[in-house]
Amino acid sequence: MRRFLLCLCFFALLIGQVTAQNHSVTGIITDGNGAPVAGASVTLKGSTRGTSTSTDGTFSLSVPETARTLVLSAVNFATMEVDISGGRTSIGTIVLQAAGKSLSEVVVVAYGTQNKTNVTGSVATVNGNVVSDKPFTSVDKALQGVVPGMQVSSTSGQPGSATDIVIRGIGSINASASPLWVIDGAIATSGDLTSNTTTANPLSTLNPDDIESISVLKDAVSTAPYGSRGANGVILVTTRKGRAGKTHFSVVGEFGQNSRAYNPTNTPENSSQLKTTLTQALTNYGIPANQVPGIITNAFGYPTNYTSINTNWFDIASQMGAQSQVSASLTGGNDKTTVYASGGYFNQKGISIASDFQRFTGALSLTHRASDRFTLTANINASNTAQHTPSNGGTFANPVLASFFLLPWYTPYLANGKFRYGAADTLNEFPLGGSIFNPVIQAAWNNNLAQQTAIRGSVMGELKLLDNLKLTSRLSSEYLAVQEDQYRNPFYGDGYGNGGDAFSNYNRMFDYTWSNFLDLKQKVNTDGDEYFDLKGGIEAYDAKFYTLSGGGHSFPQTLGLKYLANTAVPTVASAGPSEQTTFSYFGIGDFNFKDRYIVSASVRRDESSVFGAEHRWGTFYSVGGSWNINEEAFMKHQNLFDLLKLRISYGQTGNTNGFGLYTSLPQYGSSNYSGQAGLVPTNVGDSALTWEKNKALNIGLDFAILKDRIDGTIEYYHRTTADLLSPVPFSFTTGFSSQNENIGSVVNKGIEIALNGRPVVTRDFTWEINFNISHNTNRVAELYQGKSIPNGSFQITVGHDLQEYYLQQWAGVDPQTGAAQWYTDGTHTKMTTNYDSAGLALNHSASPSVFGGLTNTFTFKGFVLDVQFDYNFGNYIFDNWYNYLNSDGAYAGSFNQMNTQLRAWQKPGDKTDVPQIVYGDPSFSSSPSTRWLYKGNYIRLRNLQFGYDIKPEALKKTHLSRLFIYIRGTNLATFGVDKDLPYDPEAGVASQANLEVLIPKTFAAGVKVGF
Amino acid sequence: MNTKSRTQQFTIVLLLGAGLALGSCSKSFVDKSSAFNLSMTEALSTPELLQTDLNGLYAELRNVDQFGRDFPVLGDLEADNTFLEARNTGRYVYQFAYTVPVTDNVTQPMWQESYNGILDANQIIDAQVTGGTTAATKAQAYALRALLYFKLVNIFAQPYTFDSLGMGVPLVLHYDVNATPGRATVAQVYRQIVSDLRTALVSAPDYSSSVFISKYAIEGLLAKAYLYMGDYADAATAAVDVINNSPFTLVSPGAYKSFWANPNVQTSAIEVMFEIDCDPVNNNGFDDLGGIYLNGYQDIYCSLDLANLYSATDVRTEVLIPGYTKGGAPAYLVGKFPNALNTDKDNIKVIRLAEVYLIAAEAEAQLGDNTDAQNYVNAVAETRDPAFGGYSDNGAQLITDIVQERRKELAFEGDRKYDLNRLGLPIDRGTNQGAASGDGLSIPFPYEYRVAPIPQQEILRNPTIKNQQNPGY
Repeated sequence: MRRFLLCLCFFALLIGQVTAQNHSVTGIITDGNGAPVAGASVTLKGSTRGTSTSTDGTFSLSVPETARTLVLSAVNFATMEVDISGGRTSIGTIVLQAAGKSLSEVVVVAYGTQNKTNVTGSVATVNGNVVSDKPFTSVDKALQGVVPGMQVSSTSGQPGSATDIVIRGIGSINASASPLWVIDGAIATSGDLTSNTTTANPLSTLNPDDIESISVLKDAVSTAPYGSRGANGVILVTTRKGRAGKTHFSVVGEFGQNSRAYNPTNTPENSSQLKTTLTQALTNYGIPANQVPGIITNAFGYPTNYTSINTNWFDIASQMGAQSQVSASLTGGNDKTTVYASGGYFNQKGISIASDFQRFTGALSLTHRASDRFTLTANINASNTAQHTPSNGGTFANPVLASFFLLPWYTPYLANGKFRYGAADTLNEFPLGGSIFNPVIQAAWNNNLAQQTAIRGSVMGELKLLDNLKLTSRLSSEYLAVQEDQYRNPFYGDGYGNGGDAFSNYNRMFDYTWSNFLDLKQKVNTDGDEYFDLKGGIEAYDAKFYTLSGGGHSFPQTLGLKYLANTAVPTVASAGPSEQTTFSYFGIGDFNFKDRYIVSASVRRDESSVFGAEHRWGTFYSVGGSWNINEEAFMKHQNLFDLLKLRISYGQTGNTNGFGLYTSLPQYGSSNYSGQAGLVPTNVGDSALTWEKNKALNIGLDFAILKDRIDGTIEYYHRTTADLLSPVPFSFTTGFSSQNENIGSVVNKGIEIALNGRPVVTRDFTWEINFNISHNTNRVAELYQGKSIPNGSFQITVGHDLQEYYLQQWAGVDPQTGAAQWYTDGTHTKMTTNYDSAGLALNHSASPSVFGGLTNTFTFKGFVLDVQFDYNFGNYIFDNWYNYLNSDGAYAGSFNQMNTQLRAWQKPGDKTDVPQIVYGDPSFSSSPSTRWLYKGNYIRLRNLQFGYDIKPEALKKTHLSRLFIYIRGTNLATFGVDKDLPYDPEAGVASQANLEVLIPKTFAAGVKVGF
Repeated sequence: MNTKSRTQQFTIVLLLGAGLALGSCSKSFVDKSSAFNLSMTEALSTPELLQTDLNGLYAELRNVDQFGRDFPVLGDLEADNTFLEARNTGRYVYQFAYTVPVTDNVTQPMWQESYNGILDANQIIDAQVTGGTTAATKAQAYALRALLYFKLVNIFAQPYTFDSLGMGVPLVLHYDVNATPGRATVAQVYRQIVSDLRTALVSAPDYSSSVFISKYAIEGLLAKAYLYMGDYADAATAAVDVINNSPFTLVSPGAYKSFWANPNVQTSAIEVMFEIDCDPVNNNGFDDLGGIYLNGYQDIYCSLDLANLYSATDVRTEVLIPGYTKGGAPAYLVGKFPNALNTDKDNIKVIRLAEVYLIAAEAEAQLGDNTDAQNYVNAVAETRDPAFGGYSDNGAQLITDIVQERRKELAFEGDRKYDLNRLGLPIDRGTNQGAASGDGLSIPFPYEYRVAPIPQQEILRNPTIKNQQNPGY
């Protein structure tokens, strides 16, 4: 009996097993072009069971016999349901509809994801594929021309350098106008954290290959959940997560070479051209022509044969930069636990000597479904970067400055091949300790190293309290250490006077964002097509900084010791902490009525340590609505529109970014004297200091027509940023030049259009076009007492663009006398040849009026051709170095001049824009004026990629699931550039040329392998 | 209600409670202050901190845009003692050529930084602190404020002796960040200088080292202010008091070169009465005064005219170094500041005993006391050149002798242009091989461009000064 019972139990167990028996469903998911879709989510409808596709688009999911429907979804694709009833084990190849064609797409938004149907704001999504395995050191550089309304501009071609990003116009004067970066829920540090060295971008510590998707939030309803930090837009980065199913490996390798992207026609003069300019300068100064050669040799110290020596300092100060990158990733797991792991290596040499960048990265992401109710996700992403960066701007050690300024008859090496400098340099080209340094020595003997260590991690627990109520607790943190070591050798250059010197700087930052929120999805009707989605929670943000710096000089007479440890005389020692905190409450809600009408709203209260005690709290809100017109009954009978959606949103967000941590306090800071401590006034202080407030309206129209052959979005926005942190200039006689107060407002309004077309879609050949264009108008609406604020070469003035130049108005050259002329005022009616009587006026903006991008993608069988342009029109670039390089005689003999000087006026009747060259430039013709402005227009072939996917049949004998080979060129060609511009037309958002490392052009070849 | 949902409700209540608790402790969570800076109120609260603030004021004077380089360099370069070579690094080009634009990037920082120093001084003077070292601290602040106004009024305004009712510089005596002061008259500025120096003398500390201003250095500056006003009687009284009663002595001929080569703080009361310290840690690096003359940019050289004034036996030739310009032309290098490449940089002399002798001599000569005048000028001339028999001229010729001796003695220390201005003399530059544009100029007096323009940025910021630009700019 006992045995029988045992048997029965066993049998029952067996039956249980049988009734619960599972089988696998397999399939391949591709896009419209037949390319596999990696990372698509495959879930069993009505359960938590799910997996995702691997890099070859395949998946395998274990499902119970009773399973009926699979739900397939992927970022940028429409969600699709597939019937698997009747125990189907394969669904074959399923083609997902591409983005924009449908509203059931999933997008990442603040504190979660959202069906695109429910989106009432302006959210642009960039698939990880767009930024991965590009030869760019950071993700921001890969976003140029990709997102409508987002202006991205490099200020420097230094690998690892910071990038300027502005979304929907500049909305701040003195605080940051840059967007907020959020990586996996953590507020991320962006900008430039260096102290000694020139530039280092914290985002360069993130391997773009680890990025799953990027969402750019532009309007109030999408950014208001970030409250006091949302005003300038938010960029949400989601890193890759594991996918259940067979374990897949993917390896990508790319190798290439960099050279100068833009070769200007306006170049420095060669020796005989310099002779022409110098002779004109001296002759016009009144030196008899027969004495000129004697003056050049005796007074200027030129060798008699100087015209026969020609050094191309551009070439000397440049290098062919090799570049390589390899990254490998693994994804796999089962329906309880999934894993993603990756490792990467990236190495790029800049095109200036002593400029390079190297990065190692590693990432691990684990998701564990502990039960139907509880899921834990943990990510860690760690990296180390090292970059060598030459100095920029007007420093004598800047190789780019040297390439323009050094006289062409100077030579870097002596006849015996040794470096030319000091005592052996009998022509005094590179005297010890003075003047522009021999760049090859600087590169060989000095060290400017910045290293960053970054660890970003997050732990997130999601607990289903009820079927429709979820609690999420997420702790995300970022650790960033920037370590800079600068060494200047004891033999020659900046360090010579000090017997060699060294400076080291260590900046460490640790911050965490801890968010706790509830998410309630409540149906209103029985059909479930009218529902609320409500989120509410609290958040704490704490950023702790620590800085440690030291400096010293007097090294042993060797190049073998380069660190501070070996200096005999310490000169700088400083250390200390600083901290910034924010505490917040927030609520976000959507209401969906039958997918036809959607209303959303949010509110957030933030308290920040940056402000005075009475002004710490701020409230931010937004409301938005959308009308899916194509869901209306009256649209059922038309065939033109596959999608027609009208969106509108309004709200208030804030900006605290870039305020400085203690700006509200009147303060004294250190200034020491004769070995004793000293203090001086450093900050005026403003106890009323508070947020910048951004009120934004967004109206958008999404559409798809002609059976989804063409889709697009047109958006209009109007944002007013008030209480701007702006400098109130003081008379210098007060002892302060200015302080920042909440004064004034600026209005940005504009239109963005994104159009996607698929002119050809056949089985073998497809052609896809993505085009976007943005236009923004910026106007200062209000300033303190209506007074204009001088701001470098700009003057901030009510009714004008924030970046409008305020300069003496250049009126060209008098054809009769060759004299420089200026207008006496902005009306351009009267002219003067006296620079001091030249009138200043506001005109020409540094901001572009239109910008955007155009991408064409062609696929033919396994071949893919991707051609991406970006463009920028209407801005003017200000050249800080013009008056040295086009000095009209002021620096004749001292610095080399540009070949534009050869156009100088010679005789009455000459029509030219370069005045008569006179030694010393007594007429100030080279002084600041609109003559310094260049048009900033350009169209750039940003990326050209041609690749071939080896047919899967051909790979059968190998163990590979995918083999893709490609060649690529970035910044291959640049069109439409002002011919007098001697630099690259990309000059940052402020359009200021500052002799930075030139922007590279890259040729590369790569291979992607999946197995 | 079942147990499960009860547990869930409990969890929710617990979490909300935790949230509120976090919220209520948020006050300390968001209350942060700087680890690097002190509040203004606290920085001005005790005698000890006031003394620290005074060190900050001294450090401000060391700035490149003030005594650190611009002040001493321009006084000679804009006159006839030095020249800028043709192959230069782009510094002081407009100053040498007498073509300074209103946007000039030397003029504006001189103006701005000087007023920063005046703010430092005003804050100390107005601080509600008493006792301890306060009186001595405030006395130094008064003296340094006077020194800054003296430099400003000489750089930006025509001399007192030419037009005392002309436009001077704004007189700012108290911290008011919203003030937009107009220009006081030259006479009002000098009245304030004299008043500040006299106030300073009441509680001024005695000499303890060369790098802090003390009683007789202040009185020497007072003598100089009177001299510049043409008030020769008061100038003589003050200068003679310093000569007769101060502990200072002239440097001996044998020690002349080593005196200039010594970068250390002095406590011996030899020659230098007040100088600004450039120590191994706090200095101007490669923008040091010695960098522009000798080791570094090496852009400015001694003019041939000046070099030819010295006799072979004059010890002052020991600080003229025969050499070449970067262009290869033979020229004398300025050797008064030879420590640019050393750790401890040259201190910047502000007032020396030799100058006080020359003030006394000039004032006495102007007052008609030829004997005393000869005695004072010869005290310097014969110490510097033991082979020199001394000046024996009288009247106008004696004044000319004294001005020339002043030129030779104070060369490269920044006074020459302002001496020529106050005396209403033309600037006649000789010619120098390898010089930049501006060499050989003859600049008459009066002449509009012998004073600097009010910087354009000040004009844009300060409506009161808008119509008070110097004529000609």
